[in-house]
Amino acid sequence: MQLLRAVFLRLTTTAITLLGVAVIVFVVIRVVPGNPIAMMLPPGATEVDIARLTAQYGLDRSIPEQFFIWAGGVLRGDFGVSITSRQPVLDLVLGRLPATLELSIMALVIACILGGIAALTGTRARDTGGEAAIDIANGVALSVPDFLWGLVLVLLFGVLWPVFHISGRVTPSLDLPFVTNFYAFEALLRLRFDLWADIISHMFLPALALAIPLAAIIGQLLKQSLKETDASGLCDVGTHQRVW
Amino acid sequence: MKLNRRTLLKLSAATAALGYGLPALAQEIDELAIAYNVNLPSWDPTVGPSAVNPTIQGLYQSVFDQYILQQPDLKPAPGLLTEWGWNEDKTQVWMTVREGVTWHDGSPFNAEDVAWSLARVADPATGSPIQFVWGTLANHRVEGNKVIADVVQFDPTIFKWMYFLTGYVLPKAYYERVGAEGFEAAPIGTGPYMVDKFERNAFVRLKANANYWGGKPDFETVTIKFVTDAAARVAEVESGNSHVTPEVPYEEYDRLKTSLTGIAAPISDIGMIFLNDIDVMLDPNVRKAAAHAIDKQTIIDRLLSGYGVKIDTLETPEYDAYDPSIMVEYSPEKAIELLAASGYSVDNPVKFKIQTTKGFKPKDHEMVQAIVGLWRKVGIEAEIEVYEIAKHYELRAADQLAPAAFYNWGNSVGDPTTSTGFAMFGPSPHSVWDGQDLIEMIGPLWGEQDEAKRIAGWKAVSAKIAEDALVIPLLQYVQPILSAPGVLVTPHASGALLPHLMKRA
Repeated sequence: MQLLRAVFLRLTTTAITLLGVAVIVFVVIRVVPGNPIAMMLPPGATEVDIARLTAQYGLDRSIPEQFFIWAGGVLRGDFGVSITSRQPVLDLVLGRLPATLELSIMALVIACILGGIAALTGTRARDTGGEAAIDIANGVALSVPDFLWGLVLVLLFGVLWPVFHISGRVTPSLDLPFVTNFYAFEALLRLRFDLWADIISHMFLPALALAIPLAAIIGQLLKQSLKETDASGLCDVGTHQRVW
Repeated sequence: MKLNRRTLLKLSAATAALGYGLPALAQEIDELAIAYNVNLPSWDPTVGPSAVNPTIQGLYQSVFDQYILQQPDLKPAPGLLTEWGWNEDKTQVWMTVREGVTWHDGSPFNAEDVAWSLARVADPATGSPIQFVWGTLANHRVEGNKVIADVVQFDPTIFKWMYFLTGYVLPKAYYERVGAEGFEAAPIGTGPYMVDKFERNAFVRLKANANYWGGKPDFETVTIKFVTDAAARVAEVESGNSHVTPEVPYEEYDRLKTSLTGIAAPISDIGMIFLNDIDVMLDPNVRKAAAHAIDKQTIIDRLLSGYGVKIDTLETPEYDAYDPSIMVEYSPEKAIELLAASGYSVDNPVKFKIQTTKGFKPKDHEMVQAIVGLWRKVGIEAEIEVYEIAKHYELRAADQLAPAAFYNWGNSVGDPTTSTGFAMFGPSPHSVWDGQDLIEMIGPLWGEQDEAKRIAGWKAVSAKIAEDALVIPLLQYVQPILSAPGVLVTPHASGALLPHLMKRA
């Protein structure tokens, strides 16, 4: 019963949060500078064309009315049609989501590995110059924004020493026997390691650029935690008593 | 050599480096790779906002043919139409269709496709953004290999639109069979290349059309990668991952043009300062002074590394109504004199705001900063406001731009209506200056049937605009293209990068 109550509360707060975010994003987009109709006007457009386009896209209605039209569509699973590509928005987003997820997961894995190595190395070398060097490296990694890491990595491993691909998700000439857009995952499932290697070689540099600042955070926090645990004497007691 | 773990690692890395991404400089290019600067949102070149996006026309022209071919110098030539014209009293247009052409699926191209394509974009229901032009023709019909249509409203530029935005022929039978969605998923045309593979926001892989009426292209396979970041495009060609790329920063172009092949040619795009008929800009002395105080050549030389062509009208030398006699001299002395006549001086400067984007066009903000500096020396104090391009369009449509606003204007068809006309005709939502005298000069030219009189009229408009400084043209842009040494690129004055014009060196 308590569990049900907790789940219900969580669902309710989530729904309220989503609604709030939707309202804020919707209003902000309407308020920021820029008139989409003005950007779409073809050469030779007249005031009549402006009025027609404005009515066609529902932009002549009030913002609350526009919001309810949009929200109603969202609840039915209809996120509208992209003006530029003339494709359903949901299809466009879902089409790119697998690539985003794979990149994010790869970045997270790399960040955990690099951060773990930094933390363990720093802890092992505590109170020495080695720890200071790790701390400096972490600081540099954290202070350099990920887009700058991206440029550096492109220059180092894409131009000066070209070992990785620097654009795209996969080599265009490859025939992909995939049914989903989870290329890396499906390549592994199908045991197509040749395709998997190509996909990873495209994904590695952007994933690394995203991972470096995150690895610095993980490394610092984990090193701190490891040092505190080490200082508490629990490890020594455990070793002495063979707790494990 | 002692082989230990460290040595082995070094050897492996070196081997990997050799094996991976060897620059194509030293290799025969089998598959041409182009790092393109924009994405392709939609495959329909005739409807929707993408159809009027000038930056993707090169992609469309690789797969689809326009009614009339546009040559690299912007001049027309027989394409899918071999002949065209009006009847004597200009109540009809006629077009002769090329024979022996096939669509990419092997089906025959014929006059029905032309008639259907024209009728389709004339129909407001299909959402063609250029319906206001195509709708001037009606009752499209086929007579043998000719297409005839009635002129509802005479438009002297109708045939020019046939090699301009949305002027593409689509396959009637195929489109009606597969529908808009099916065509979007698997587009076919009569163009020099066929779509082999397309991944949205990533790349399009093209295969040469062996039956292309203009001759099979040199490169059998072309992959166009959508690389919107300029630094990444530079890295693509420098690493050899791509063989051609346009629109790189001029500094990078200068750095790489000796190790690669570089070509920088003027294109049909103009940098200009819109002047709004408000506040101090209503004073002709202020406008003329602002125009005379700008040293355009020095700005081009210093900020754009010389990559630009100084111009004084909205017509570049390739355009039909270009008049080389129209010049606005750089003369700070004249500017000071004009301002003094209105009571302004360096100690009592005229003040107004100038708006500009930052990074939308090469060195846009830097150019405006330089101009403001030049203005300060003659007695103009301009405050710079930086905004996004979206804001510029919004303000322009609402006629709420500042007294001065930097912008660029492309016109790949070179007709004065699509540059001077749309930019300077008051009732147009694209124009900024709404002077009645200019409206009265331009108005009759829209439907002028005598071509010589029409062009002369537009030249007179350009002269008036320059004389009264109703706008300040600055430069014609130059498009830098880098290519691997094994590739010969033919630049197109429209700015379109066309793979079928690329040859092996």
